[in-house]
Amino acid sequence: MSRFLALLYKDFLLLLRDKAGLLFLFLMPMALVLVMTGMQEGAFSSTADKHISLIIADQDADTVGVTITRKLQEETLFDVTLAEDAEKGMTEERLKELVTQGKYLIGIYIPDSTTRRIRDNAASAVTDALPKPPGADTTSTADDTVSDAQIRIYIDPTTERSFRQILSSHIRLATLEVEHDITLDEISSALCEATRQEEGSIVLADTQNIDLQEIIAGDDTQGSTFNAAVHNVPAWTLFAIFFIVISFSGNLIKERQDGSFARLMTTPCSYFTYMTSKLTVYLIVCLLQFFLIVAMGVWLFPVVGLPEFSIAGHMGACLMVVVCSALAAIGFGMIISAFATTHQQAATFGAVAVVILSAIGGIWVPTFLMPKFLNALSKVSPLNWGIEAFYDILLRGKGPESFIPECALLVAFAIICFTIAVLSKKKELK
Amino acid sequence: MEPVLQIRRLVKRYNGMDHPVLQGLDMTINPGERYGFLGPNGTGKTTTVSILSGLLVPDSGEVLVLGNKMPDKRKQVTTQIGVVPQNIALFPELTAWENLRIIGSMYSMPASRLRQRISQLLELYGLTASARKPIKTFSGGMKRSINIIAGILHEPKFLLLDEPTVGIDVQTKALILDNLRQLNQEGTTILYTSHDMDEAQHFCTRVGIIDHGKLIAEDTPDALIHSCPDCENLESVYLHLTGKSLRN
Repeated sequence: MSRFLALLYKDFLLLLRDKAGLLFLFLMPMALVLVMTGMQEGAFSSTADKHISLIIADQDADTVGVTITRKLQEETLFDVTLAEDAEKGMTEERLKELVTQGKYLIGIYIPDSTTRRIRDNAASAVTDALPKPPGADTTSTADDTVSDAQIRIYIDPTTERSFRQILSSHIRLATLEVEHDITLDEISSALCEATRQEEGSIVLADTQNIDLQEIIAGDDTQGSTFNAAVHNVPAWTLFAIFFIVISFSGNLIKERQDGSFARLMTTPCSYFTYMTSKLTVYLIVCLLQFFLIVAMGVWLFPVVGLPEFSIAGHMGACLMVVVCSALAAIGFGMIISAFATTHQQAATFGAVAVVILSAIGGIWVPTFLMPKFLNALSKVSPLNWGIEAFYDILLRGKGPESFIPECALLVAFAIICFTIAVLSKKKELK
Repeated sequence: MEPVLQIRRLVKRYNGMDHPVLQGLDMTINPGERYGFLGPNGTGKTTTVSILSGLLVPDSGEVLVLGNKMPDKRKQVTTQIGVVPQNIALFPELTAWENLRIIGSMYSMPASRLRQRISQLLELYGLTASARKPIKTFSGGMKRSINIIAGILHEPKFLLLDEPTVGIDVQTKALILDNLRQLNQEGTTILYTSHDMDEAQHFCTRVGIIDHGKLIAEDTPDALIHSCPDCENLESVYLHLTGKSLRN
């Protein structure tokens, strides 16, 4: 057996005999990716998957009430209950009470005559806007109109602000649609009257001229859309990869302390061979972590109701990011082992450093959700370089030119770490 | 015949220390010798062994091991020497067999020869039955024995033993010393450091006493005893030369 193979055999045996370490290296990231994806799924997923209980008391029972009810029933975000189906003779006070008790997250009260008020206001506005026949009364009718219609929305304090905004925009859209239709009707009637044509002979068509088209930016139309899986699978893979610094540096310190490293250095084994063996073993560990977490995303996530992770067509590029990240993590582990004197020191510093670097790097929460200064700070974290490279591959669907700069940064970081660690080793010899 | 070890004006200073540990050490060991390298704590015995085995770089002076200059010819030297460190330098989670196989592989020994040699030495030290057990389950004496076997697996020409018998019972110590004598008769030159003067007196063919980083006496145990008035054994010679004050 060659020296390198013998060292590889030794490092694998040591890793396999450390059951707690294995759990730490593999089970912890697998559990984290499952839990975090589940937790973040709510925040990242389309709001269509959520169900907000909502009750409508429609006292108007005319166009406005019917349109708002129809629009909200069409929106799968809301579980709509009509007041008359819930209780006979629902008052506004009772509706408010039901929301206060938490039976519904949102209660909408559409007062009696809401449509009539809108219609009256529209009629006044059209009459005022059209030129009057000579000798007619030119006084504005606006002051005679009834007060503006007011639809009241009762909201449970726990309701997310984004849902309130969605609800408000739905109601505003429905009322605008009704106001628009009524105004067109009034204009048609006024035109018929002014041109002395038969009522209904002039119809103003309601045409929609502007269409909205949603296009995901990127060179490859195969790119996924952002969801909890597409963030968490690469994010926790990177976290797992960087968490090996604890095991890696601990292993180096242990061998230094128990004298086995010195023993090997008194044989023809070189420091380079010794480190290359360790690097190979931990590189394989990182690849296994990646395959396991990806397998979870592909096969387990859909079973437990989480979005499926897809890596089809991107495996080679992703492996490149994993290898570069693993080199950076191993380099970081070497630096820690060079300066820490005990396993405890390395474990504490390594864990804290990786948690901080992952937090600012956008592993726990994507950087676009961070405040501006943290977003800028994230650029210094190697984990951010890794996650950005994954986003380039999986989301932006870009070619190698987009993620190679991030891979180069990771490799440069690794080289700097290796150099510092080797220089420190040489200093130790003196 | 060319000396196995030649040290000339060797100086080594550690950072933060007022004086060098080695202050111009001169020493020669000839082939076939069992050389006892004795001295109080902190006088430079382990530092010398570390320089000879390539673990430390000297500040100045010349070190020739088997005709090769250290540390420049580290690889040529490490293939021919065996080192038994003061501490048990083994992988505690691995079995005795795995430890020996891995350490033996560092010397590029053919697999069949390595297997044969491991079996032979385990049997010699009475450890065949424990070969497949992890080192962490071994007694102190068993660990010491494996520590020695790991240093002699490849039949080195020059063996560096840094206090190899510390903390073991009389029977194991006798077994280890007998086996080391046998190895010496087969052609291995031995450098042996110890604090056990009785052991050194009976085991070593020549003794060097180091103090304050320099060799202060060197001869056969009998010659050293005869040269010192009122000294009846090596321990009294040693105390006569190094004094009775405590050392760090």
